[in-house]
Amino acid sequence: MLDDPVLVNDWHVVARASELAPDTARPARLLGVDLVVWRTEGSIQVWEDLCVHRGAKLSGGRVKDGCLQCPYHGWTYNVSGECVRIPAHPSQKPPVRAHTNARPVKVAYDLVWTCLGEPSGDIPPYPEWDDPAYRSIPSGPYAFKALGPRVIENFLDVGHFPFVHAGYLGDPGHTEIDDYEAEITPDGVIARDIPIWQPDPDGTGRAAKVAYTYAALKPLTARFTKAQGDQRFCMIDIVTPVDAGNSLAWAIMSMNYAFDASAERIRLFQDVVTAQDLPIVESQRPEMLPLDLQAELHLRSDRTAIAYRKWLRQLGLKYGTS
Amino acid sequence: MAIPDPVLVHDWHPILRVEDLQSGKPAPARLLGEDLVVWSDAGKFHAWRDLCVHRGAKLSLGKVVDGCLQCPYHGWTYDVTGSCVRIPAHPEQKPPARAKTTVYACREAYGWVWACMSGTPNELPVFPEWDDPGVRRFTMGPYVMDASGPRIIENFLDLAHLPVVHEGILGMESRAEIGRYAVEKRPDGVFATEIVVWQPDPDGSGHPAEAHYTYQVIRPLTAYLSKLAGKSVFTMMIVATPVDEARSMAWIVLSMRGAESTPSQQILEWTDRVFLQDKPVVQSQRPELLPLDLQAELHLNCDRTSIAYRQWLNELGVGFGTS
Repeated sequence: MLDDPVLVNDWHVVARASELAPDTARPARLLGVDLVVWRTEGSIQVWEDLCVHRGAKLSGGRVKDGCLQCPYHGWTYNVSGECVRIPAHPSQKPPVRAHTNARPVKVAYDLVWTCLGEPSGDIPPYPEWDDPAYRSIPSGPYAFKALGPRVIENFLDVGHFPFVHAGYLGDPGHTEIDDYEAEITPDGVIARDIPIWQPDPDGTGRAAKVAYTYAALKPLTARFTKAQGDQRFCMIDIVTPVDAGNSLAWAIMSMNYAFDASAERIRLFQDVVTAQDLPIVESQRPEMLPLDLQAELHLRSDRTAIAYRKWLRQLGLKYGTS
Repeated sequence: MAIPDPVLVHDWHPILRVEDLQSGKPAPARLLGEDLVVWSDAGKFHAWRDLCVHRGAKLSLGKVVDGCLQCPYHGWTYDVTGSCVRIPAHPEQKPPARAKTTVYACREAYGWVWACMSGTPNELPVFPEWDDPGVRRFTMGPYVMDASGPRIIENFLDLAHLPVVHEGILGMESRAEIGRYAVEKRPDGVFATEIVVWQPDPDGSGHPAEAHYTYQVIRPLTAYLSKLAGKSVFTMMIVATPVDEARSMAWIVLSMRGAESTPSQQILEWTDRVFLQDKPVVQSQRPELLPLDLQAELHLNCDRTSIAYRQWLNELGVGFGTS
């Protein structure tokens, strides 16, 4: 397990709930730990992906009668993680030690969350999910060969729009970034009302001058609200720290307008935008985000990134930072 | 950044074929463990550290605009001296003095782009036959090898493997014995002369002959051989680019005097075949880094060129790719 007390004791996403078919198991990975995520009629379980008998991966097994059966010797575990049957010795009561390392589970925003340590806080708020004024569209997960802090900082970055997302979120003829403020609050980093001219701010294809308000809610979770008049386009980006080289970004977009626009089209728009970011973020060196502000250069337009780096340092984040 | 090697930083190393560089588009390369971006404009070649100082993105993903290189991330634009001259998010602001990238010496020769990571480069290795109108000349490579540069050069200098690895071409197992030859280690290199080897096909012409070899190691990762076989004179220079300690690119320049009836294509295929025979064996060598301590591996009379090479590398203080 990657040594980061902040992230070990925080909640992370390991699956999308609606994509977990009943009576199936699938693998996931979090902070370098292999997990099995599986579902029965009544509940979702997240365990360490290991049978205590010979260390086989339980995610390769099958769900039978509400239990998960190891693919190697058929040891069968109930939803509490206790081994209830050892087929080679059907009349023997399984030893007490024969149980899995079950992790706590929460389901929110159609995402399955777990924690490898002792949960120290709650999952990040995203009120638009339950707000009937909004339609929410999930996208991702997007796999990055990069570490979470670089992925989040890119999400918070406005200066790259005209270059990486020309024709979508920016225009090479409108590169200048106006002044804005970013601050560290008890709830995270907030940067308000950054005006940006965008050729296609939301995938509907209509150009507009929009105002971005960003918030980093957790070390690896950020959101923005993009406003034009009364219209709000919101997005939350939740990054799972997979291991020392990989991240998985889960996104949800919510809009209080354009209900007739195809959800598939908006999801595809986000797929394209992320595919534009991917090679750049994966190319960044050092891979670990330098929290020493002298290590890279910062401009006025980088105020959100500066605040984010300072905040990560205050929190004592070790993963993905240097 | 720490200097990767006190000797090799002053040498020129080929990093890319000129023909692989598209106009307006930078290309990535790697030398001595560092990522480089290579680009050209107005006939000049540039090799820089492949990193924008702003957010560490790779400049090799960017583009050439108006004689400058533009970062793919926020469009920071660097002129040919490596100084940032434009920050699009703040067009009125003069870029800070720290906004520059590390620029290395860069030039073209033999159809290849060469880089040197020091401000005081040594001479570029000379292939004497390059301008000789009486020879046919060819360039080949790069052959990418998961092996250290010194292992590749030592294989090039090695005689005793010829009848084994290149059986039927550069030797025969029934005539595997290596006779006496002269080796001299001088401050400027290692020289091996008076080498006589019987070869079934010394130059791709298919005619067996007694081949007379002369070797010169002119730089730690550059060696030259000339081979007189029958009526032909065959010369070859090999340059090994130290990509990482255990990863290299091998580049070849060769010339052929005589053997006019042998088609050029046949000579190229012959060279290719010989290299592909060496590759798996050299890649298998352990330790990957050439041991300069002569007690570490076994040495025989036939290995005197290798012995002199290792001693010379040790005297020069070559660390990258050696142990």
